[in-house]
Amino acid sequence: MENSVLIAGFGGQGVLFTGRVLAEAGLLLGHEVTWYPSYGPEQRGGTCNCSVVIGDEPIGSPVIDAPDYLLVLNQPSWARFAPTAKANGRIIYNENIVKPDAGPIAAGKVPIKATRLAGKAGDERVANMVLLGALLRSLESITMAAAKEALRDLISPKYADLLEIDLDCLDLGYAKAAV
Amino acid sequence: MTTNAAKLMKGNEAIAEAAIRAGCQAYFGYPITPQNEIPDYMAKWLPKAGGVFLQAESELAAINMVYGAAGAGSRVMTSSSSPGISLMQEGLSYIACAELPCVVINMVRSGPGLGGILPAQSDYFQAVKGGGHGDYKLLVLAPATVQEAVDITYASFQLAEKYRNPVMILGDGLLGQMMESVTLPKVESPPSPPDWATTGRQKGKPRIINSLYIEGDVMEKRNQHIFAKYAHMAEDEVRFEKYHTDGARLLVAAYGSTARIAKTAIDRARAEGIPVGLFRPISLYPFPNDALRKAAAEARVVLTLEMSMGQMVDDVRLSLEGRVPVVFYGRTGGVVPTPKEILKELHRVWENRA
Amino acid sequence: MRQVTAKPKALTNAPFHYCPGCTHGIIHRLLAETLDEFGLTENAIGIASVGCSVFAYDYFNCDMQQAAHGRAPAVATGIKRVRPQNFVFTYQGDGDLGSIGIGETIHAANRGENITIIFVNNAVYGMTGGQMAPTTLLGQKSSTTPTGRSIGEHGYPLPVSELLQALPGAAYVARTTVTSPSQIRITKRALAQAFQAQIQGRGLGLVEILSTCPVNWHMDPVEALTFINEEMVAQFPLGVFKDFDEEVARDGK
Repeated sequence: MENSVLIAGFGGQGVLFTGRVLAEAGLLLGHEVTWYPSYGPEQRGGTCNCSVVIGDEPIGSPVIDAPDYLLVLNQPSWARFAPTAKANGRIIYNENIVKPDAGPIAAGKVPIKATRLAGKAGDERVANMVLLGALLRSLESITMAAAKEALRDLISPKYADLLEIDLDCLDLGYAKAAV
Repeated sequence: MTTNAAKLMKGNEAIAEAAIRAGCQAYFGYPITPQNEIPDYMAKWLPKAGGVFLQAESELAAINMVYGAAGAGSRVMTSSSSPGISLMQEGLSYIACAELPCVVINMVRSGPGLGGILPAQSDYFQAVKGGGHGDYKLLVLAPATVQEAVDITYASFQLAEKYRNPVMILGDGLLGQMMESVTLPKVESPPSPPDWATTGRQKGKPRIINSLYIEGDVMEKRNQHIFAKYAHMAEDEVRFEKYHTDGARLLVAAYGSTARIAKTAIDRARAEGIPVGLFRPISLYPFPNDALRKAAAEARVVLTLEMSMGQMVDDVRLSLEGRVPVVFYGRTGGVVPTPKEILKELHRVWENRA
Repeated sequence: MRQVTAKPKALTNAPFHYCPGCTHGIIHRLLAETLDEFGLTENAIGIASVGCSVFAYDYFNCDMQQAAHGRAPAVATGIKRVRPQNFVFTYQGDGDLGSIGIGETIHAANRGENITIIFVNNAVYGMTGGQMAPTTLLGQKSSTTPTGRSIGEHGYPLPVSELLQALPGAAYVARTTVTSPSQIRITKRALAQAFQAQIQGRGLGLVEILSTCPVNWHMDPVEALTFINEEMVAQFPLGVFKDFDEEVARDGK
């Protein structure tokens, strides 16, 4: 088993943190994991992505050319990454923000009203957790329990009041995602 | 940072923690991307471990602080990235000649010039051929994973002391910025200052840390002396990894981040039936000449992959002495090759083999 | 017969290589006497720099490091930070400290490093053959200012002590010379106070000593001493620019 997950959006949407939760959950489950953030000029320009690879064997490339799973949090990331997703892969995207282009996309599309669901749960800012929950529906190597434990471990004291909302959002995303 | 369970750490932070656990007593450095997590981590944690952290006014000053502290018998390190390492070359030349142990981390970024902050391997020559003026070498080790970066950093202080020579750990922005699970080694106490260190002579004779040998024959002896150490290094410190090299008809030579990306491409190529293996030098100086020759024994062609315009490929050619055709593929400027791209190159090279 | 003087213990028996009429020798002796009098010869770690005093490690009978050109304050910082229990001094010339190493000097002073700098200012690069130094006087000829230093081409002589005076981390800054027995005594007192700055942990102490270079000035030794007293002192006034003790007396801190 080796799963590659690419998460892409704007800085401030929790792209890197979402990846951290995923990677940490992988570690808790005893998997090999790599987490690699974009840190170059794009970081300064506001867009942001991170690559997480989860496997049973030591990971070779932490750089992903064709993700098994793609989480899209903003429109520019659709244009840039959606065409690269594997044909048998999945693109999970926030349909409150992202309008899929008409171009040929081979991967399965999983639209999630992540902003709206997060707002219902208590804070629109944590739409990233809704998308992560949706990912867990199809990413079999990571359990919801591990993701929640990782989230509890990683959340900074500054956002401690968001923890319950984050946890709810994971469940909401999971429930809404098509398998 | 007390438990030894596996944890996710960024390469840069893991290196810093490994250095502290290795008994590093002092860190002097200057900020530069993509290695800033090292000084940040050191500033926070090294003083808590009883060590000294100081942000220098420049890389020139930092490496000379390293010189002073190493000369005074302290376990000491610095870290930087390409342009900063260039500024340190003068100091490294003095340190090598004065035979001072220290550890230097270079998280390489793209160049030349101010270049960019993205990963590159374009400082290979600078690292392995000496880098500054005069005849000298650094012991250069290139990890490919965060765990290996930890293990190498941990070992590097004792290697530096064994040879009284700087050890350079050559990483890149990718290794520094990525997270991977690591198991950290136990905390080691630094040794007492050696006899040669300037610690105040007390009743003994003055100790002198020096790289000035104004008489030609004396300077020549100094050169011969330090090169005798490098000959010992070539005997004892060669490190490498072989991955599916037995029976490989296409051999890839790559180090560091490029090597691990190549592994993914090699797995895919082998699944398609291409008999390809990887030879990964870990010690870039001393270069694993003999091991590479053996690994390439059955190869029809050797492909060197680097994030540069082609630097290690020269050492690969020197090792193989014309026995096997050597070809090169590189990305540079901060562009990291993808497994797909390398796979395409493997196909091209295999299909065009002589 | 009664012995009235002796070579300081802090000097080795190596004969100085300095040129006739050069006052490096006097300054070496004063520094060595001060090390002995403070009982620091066995504890001290000195840093030789690049320039005429590059061989200082052969002359001082204490542990020594030889530093790259201009980097002595950085080397001293590295030593002092890991061994605060040792007395650490540098011995630098004007090219080394004032030109290529002015950055290290200013930052070491600004950090208030507890180190002592002996700064020998002879207004010329001696070792390399008499080139212009940052402290070369206006109108003074050197091998790279054959018609004399001019403001338009070369700028002004660098006032190192006045510069460092402005830095809070500098605890003691004085400019002296060794052209007469009385000036030699003043220099010795300045060295003692610069030592005290380090011993008491007050910050950086620097003594700038105006020194002769008869060979590169193309003068005989007596003319060289006169040149200091009449020309150099006019550009580089002698005196104590900063003294932590006076600040204590004045500000009560």
